[in-house]
Amino acid sequence: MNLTRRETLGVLAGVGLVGGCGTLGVSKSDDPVAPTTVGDEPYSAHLNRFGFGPVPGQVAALKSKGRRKWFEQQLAAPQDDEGLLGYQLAAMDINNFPAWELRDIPEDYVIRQLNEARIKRAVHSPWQLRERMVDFWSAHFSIYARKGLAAYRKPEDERNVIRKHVFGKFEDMLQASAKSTAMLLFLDQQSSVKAQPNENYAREIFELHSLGVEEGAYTQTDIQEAARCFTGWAEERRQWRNPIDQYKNPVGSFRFIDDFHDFKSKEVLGVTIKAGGGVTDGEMVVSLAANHPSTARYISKKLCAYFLGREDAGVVGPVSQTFIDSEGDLTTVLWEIFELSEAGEAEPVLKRPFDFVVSAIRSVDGTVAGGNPLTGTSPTQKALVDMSQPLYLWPMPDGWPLEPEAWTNTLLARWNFADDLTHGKMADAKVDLKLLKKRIGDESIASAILNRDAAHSTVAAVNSASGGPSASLAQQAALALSTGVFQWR
Amino acid sequence: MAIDKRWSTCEEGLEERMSRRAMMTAAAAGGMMLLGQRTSLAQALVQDEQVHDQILVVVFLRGGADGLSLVAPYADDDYHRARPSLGLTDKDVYDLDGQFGLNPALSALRPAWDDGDLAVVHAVGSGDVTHSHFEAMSLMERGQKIEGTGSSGGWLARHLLATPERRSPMRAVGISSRTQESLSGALDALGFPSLEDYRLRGGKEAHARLTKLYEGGEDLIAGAGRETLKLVNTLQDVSVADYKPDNGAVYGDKHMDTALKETAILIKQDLGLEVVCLDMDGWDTHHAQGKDIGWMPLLMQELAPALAAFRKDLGPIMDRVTVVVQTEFGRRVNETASLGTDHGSASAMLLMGGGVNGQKVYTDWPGLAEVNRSGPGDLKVTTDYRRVLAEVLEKRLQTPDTNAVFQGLSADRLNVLA
Repeated sequence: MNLTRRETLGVLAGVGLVGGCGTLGVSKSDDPVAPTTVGDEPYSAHLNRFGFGPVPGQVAALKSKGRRKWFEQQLAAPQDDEGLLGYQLAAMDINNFPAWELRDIPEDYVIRQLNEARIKRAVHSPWQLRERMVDFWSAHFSIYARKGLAAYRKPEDERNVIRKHVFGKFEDMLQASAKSTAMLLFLDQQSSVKAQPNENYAREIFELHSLGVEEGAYTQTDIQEAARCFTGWAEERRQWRNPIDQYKNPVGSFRFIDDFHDFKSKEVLGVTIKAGGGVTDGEMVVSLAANHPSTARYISKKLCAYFLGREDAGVVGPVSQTFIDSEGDLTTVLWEIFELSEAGEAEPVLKRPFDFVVSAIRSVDGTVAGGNPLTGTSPTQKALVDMSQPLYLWPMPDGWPLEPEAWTNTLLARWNFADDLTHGKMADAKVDLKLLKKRIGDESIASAILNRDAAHSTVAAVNSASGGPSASLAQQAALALSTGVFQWR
Repeated sequence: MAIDKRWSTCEEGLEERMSRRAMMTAAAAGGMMLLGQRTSLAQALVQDEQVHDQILVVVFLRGGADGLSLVAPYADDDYHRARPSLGLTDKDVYDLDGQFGLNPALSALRPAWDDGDLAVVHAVGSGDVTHSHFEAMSLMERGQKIEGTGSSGGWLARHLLATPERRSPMRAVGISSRTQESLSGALDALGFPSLEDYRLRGGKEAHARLTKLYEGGEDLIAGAGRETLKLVNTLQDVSVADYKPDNGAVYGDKHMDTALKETAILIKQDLGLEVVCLDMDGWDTHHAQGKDIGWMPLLMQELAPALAAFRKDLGPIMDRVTVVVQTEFGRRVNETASLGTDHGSASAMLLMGGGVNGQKVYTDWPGLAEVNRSGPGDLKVTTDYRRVLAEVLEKRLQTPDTNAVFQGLSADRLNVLA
């Protein structure tokens, strides 16, 4: 919860620092937090908002296809990728072994593979909207991979909770998450028993995954009652099987343990859950949370902030109404967000480091090879560490912050990454600027990266600061990626 | 947070803003002109040499550190009833006053206690009722007692904003993976994950190119870019690797060691540093909290030796330094079946430094019997954490009006500082 612009104004006004501003208090929503030129090229802005930015030539292609057609096609994305990318992904351990088998591999190796797969898909997959949604929901259902050996369960969580439902129903995703062993272990659910329920998961599903804390839709009593409903939600650990194969769940998957469950009646969010229910108690809690109007508003607000850079009633209102009317159908909700974007109801969002790294590589038509699993070195992943966003390693359950103020201390690392990438110093992210220059012809590298012509102020500033056309291609490209404008989407 | 937002909050008055900017730049560079801009109060303070030299280091234990384990009420029978597995006895602790004992994993802090440089405030906290890390942390970092009251922005930011005449190239620093909310809204605060990472690839030539690129522009990133370039310039000759601590101090290689070592380097650089914010994660011990072995002993064995090394390294400089260790809330009194503890209310705060009225546990102890607990079974908050922070601001950082920082706070203080 960072200071909003308006709150900042309040603080400043309170101590009389801002002298001479006649507009204080009636400040317009377009205070220049982002450079005013970020959104002045609508096709590039669209690809940044709903994907990870254009690759060279993509803006021209989109102009002939049209944004609506592109969006429609993106919503039909398959869960898996094809071609070389699909082949590379299919060869990864994380995509071949269930959690229990993966445990033979070091935890760090699994985390590196998870990172590698996410980076590769965001850079190379044609299904950009899908990857954007995976980024959003991975932060929404954030799991710290180093807690409780969650790393081994995270590949399944990403497949079965996130990727499977990004264009489906919100309730399905929430129900899947509630039975994700990665989530249960991360939030201490496995040790919650009827004698001493552990409140951690019950609290976070309300506060972070569904209702949100702002509207005060639930009480401490609701959390304690919900925690009782979730008692016995655990992981299958029994490995021995008798000839009749009495255990239907594979080891490492979700298991409801009757002996740990509190079968007495409970009351959650004003609804009585009758005694004797069993696993349906928790499922009922998830369903109540998923279909609560506070959830529609909270999820819509987060989606609006993420895609439209706004969380005011002007955009959250229609999106949350769509959420309610469609019973949480995320495809329908995304269409509403697209329409608002088309209507000019969007503001720039600061690229988080992952957004920046991926869009930078895409902008120069780079290729991500991924880390070397044997030596564990991946300069691209190291760059994300330097920028404070190593994927799967945000320690809190609230997910990576979106507020631009949270990331202003990452500029130096961004500039350094831009320098390394364009000077060929990233062993796992290769670019060929000479080839790119041949393809773009007379256009400058800065023009190609920023998708603006030579007369545009940002392109002119890059050309001036880099020392003009005689500067090396790498230096021009590094500066283009280092501009303020490129830090926004 | 390196935000030059002051220049982006209105569209009119450009001329005035430019002249103000020019004035500030000149003030920062010169110092003589700075004096001319001081208020009469600040003028008076300047004559006291201590003012410019005082440094506050805030260590925030993220996740809700268990005060009942940090400083255990080992003589309280209710404590042992509530904590049959985790409870510490008189044989385990370093006795502080016959009632409270220092956790053995914090034994590196014993010299500071024995020298009178360490104090404990117990049963201290906010009025948070959500038991949510994020709400409780945010509440505390914004310096509020309960949600929905008082002003917004970080409490340290409000101090910094209330004393704008004290310009320095590096007045407030957050060494963290993300800027602390306590500094949120502070225009001259800077943040970085680690001092050692703070180098620009391409050196001075790249610096010159980026400086040109970031000229002008009034948005958030333009301002942040200029602040970043300024700091790179200041720090480019500092080496953490080659740093030799003074007085035979030895830092370990854990996160807190590095964070406090870098803090010591910055303090010795004499950059006009006034506030440093550090974070330590991992205190959310729902599971396997441990008495001798577990998460909590491991965390304390990282925290205490690092603080001890820092104190030894700075030696006499510690007279000008106050370290405050705080957390968003304590843990539930009863331990759980997972040998951990759930989110609670009150915890303990530690204060270390030459000006601390040490060797004392400051507390209005509520007791641990069930009738004395608050909420779902928490250690009751009997001391408002803001009373401690307000005293630090008043006695160390010379905040002119702490009521502007902590609105509605009563005037009584603990006198935990000399």
